[in-house]
Amino acid sequence: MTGNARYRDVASAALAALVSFLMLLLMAPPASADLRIDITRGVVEPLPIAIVGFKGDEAKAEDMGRNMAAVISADLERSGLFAPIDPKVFIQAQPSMDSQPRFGDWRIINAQALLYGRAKILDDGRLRVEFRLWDVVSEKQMAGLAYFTAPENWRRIAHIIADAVYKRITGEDGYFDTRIVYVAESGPQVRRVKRLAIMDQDGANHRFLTDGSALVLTPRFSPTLQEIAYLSYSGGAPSVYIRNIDTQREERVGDFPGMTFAPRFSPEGEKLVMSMAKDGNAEIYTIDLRTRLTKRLTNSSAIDTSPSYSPDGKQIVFNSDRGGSQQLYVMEADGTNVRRISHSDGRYFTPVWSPRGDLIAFTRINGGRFAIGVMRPDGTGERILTESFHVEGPTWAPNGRVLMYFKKEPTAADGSGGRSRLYSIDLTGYNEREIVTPLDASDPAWSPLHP
Amino acid sequence: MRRPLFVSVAFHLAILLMAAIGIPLSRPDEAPMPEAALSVELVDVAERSNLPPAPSPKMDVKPEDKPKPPEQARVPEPVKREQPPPPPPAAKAEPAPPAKAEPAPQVEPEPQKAAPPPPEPEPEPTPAAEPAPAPTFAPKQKAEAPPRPEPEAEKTISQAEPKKTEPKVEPKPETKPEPKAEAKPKAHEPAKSKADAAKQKPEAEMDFAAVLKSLDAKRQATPGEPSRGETKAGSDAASASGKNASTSYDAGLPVTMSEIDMVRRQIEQCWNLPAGARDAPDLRVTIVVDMNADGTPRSAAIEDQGQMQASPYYRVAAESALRAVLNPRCHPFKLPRDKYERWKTMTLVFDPKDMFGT
Repeated sequence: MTGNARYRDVASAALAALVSFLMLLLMAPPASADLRIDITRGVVEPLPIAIVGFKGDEAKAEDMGRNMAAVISADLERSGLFAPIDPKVFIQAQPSMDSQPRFGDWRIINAQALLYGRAKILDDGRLRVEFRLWDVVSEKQMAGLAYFTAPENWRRIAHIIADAVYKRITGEDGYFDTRIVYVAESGPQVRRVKRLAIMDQDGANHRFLTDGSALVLTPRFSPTLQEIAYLSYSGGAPSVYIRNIDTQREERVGDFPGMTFAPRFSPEGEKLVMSMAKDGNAEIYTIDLRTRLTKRLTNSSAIDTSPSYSPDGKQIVFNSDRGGSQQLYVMEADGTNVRRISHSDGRYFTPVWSPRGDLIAFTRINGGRFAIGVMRPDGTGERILTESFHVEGPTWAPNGRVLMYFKKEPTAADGSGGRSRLYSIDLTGYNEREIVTPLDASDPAWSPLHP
Repeated sequence: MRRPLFVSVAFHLAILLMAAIGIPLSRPDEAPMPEAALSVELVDVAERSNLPPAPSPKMDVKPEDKPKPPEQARVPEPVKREQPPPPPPAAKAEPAPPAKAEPAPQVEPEPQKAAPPPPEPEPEPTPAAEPAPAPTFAPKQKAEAPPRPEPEAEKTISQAEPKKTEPKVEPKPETKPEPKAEAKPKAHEPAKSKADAAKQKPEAEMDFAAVLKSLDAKRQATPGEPSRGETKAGSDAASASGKNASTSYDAGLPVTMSEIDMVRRQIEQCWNLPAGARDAPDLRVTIVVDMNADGTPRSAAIEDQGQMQASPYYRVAAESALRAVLNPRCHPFKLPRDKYERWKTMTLVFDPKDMFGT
């Protein structure tokens, strides 16, 4: 009996203690002894990165390594997101590949990231390049990879490494291992010679694809192949052609009764969408590049042109003057559900859907001035990135963060001026950079990342 | 008999537990701190309430010796701030819009211009068998596939570990007491040359002018700050003018809003947001920091390691937050030293969503 009572007492006492304790807990505010600070703002400034010339085990590899570091540094700097540190202030000249760098030496010069590597020519003649990327502040390796290639490809390896660094640090895909095709212009304004030209994204490896005997316009990259589609007058009447960059084989697309122009590949590369004009009325068509089947998408008395697919291939943005002035319209890929998305006073043309799908870039003329801007596919959020006497023809970098276009200066009465060059600009509207070309340039088209 | 004993043991336990967790009723004054912190307008708080009160009482309490290291450490900061604001957008030589040639959009073909171009059968321009880069290049995946370098790195790291302690120890004292002053000025030089470089390439800086604009506002607000670290006289004057300078400190008091604000501003200066954060919806990163008594972090850890593995965007954001905490440029944190107990462990929550409106 006493035993029972005792257990009861113990139980009730424990229960009482527990209940009172729980009640106190419930009443208590979350017991955070720590200091908690919310950081909701930061700075967006170029990340200081130290890029050490890649080490080589012999003179040739050493040269190559140094050049690769220079290419990587230039790529990252041009992006506006990185601030490569002048190698003159480096304290640790050549960190070893086989141990950690001396982080203190790099912190002192304010580096937050450190990149170095090694180039080696293997016995079989191939080039082996490896690199390491370190977070100097956290003292951790962020990336380390090795590549094998033919030594002539060192530049590409440098771009690929720059892409890897860009992606690892910003979280976005890079765009350095890409090429630009554009129309190179020369000669007097009244009789311009226009040639297709191609170069790496940084201006290197420049070469001409056509000899200038025929006028060419609006080159566009295939998303999947080493091919470009463009408008050429080579056959007398203007028509759309496709050319293989490597084999230089040129082929006229389709057999249309009228002139064809403004071609663009579908996201999968199997179709081409373009305009065909007949009797002063242009409509949008697609042509399947394998079956050569054509399909008409628009049907209006207005001029419908400059079609561009959304990256999922389900919609097409184009430009039409069916409402009186040139405006942008979006329709389903089968031509249904046409809706206007641009609504301001100006005229809109050359719409291009971002590879990311979130924005459409365009050229706008308002009050005699040209501008390059972006808007969402539903027409909201219009933003002008740059404005000038004449800017035109935006094209997206494959990561959808950077645009390239051409900018023309006015021609003076005596025929001077009229310089036309390619420029790239960040989606924020800053970091405008000229892409150096040997001649005047227009109509740039950015390639996808090399497959 | 035993019953009172058990009862008493049970209640003692409860009391001990309460003591361990804290008596809830006495704490509400601390509660508003973290919540209110969210809505603070940085510039205002910094300017008015922040600066004078926090350090001046401290200086009264602990004269001379204590303020020295922070003072030294602070010196570079004004310099840092002095970095020229991004130059105004280079006035693009805007040609007077001539009424004449409004170039026609290129989409429309220009048949009138080049109607009769001499049709030529396309002589292939020098098929100089350019080594097609794509084919010759060993496929990337293949190159990446051999996990050669990665393990190698790990191996070398673990190898270097024992070695590491040796150099680690050596530079540490070097950077700490005396060379800090010496090393820091060195750090300006790059900063300065960077500024020069920025001048040469204004476009690079302009890149972020939009965001910097908000910073500029902050910079303009900060001039008050240098004056604080500047001279003793200055701070004396400040403490004299500060009406509550005479209030004696209670170490048990929670860290005040303005004190927190100061640290927040410090860390914000060092938080370089990753560009990819623009598009990822939820990138709230929590970092738990163990602090040294001198206001430098001893260790910092990203809380959500699972997400680190899962999402590259999150990883990038978390790493940028970690860099912000560990970046020596922003050390030591300006926390009241005598309240060390309160900030021995800090939880920092980084949330970039306010930065990117769109």
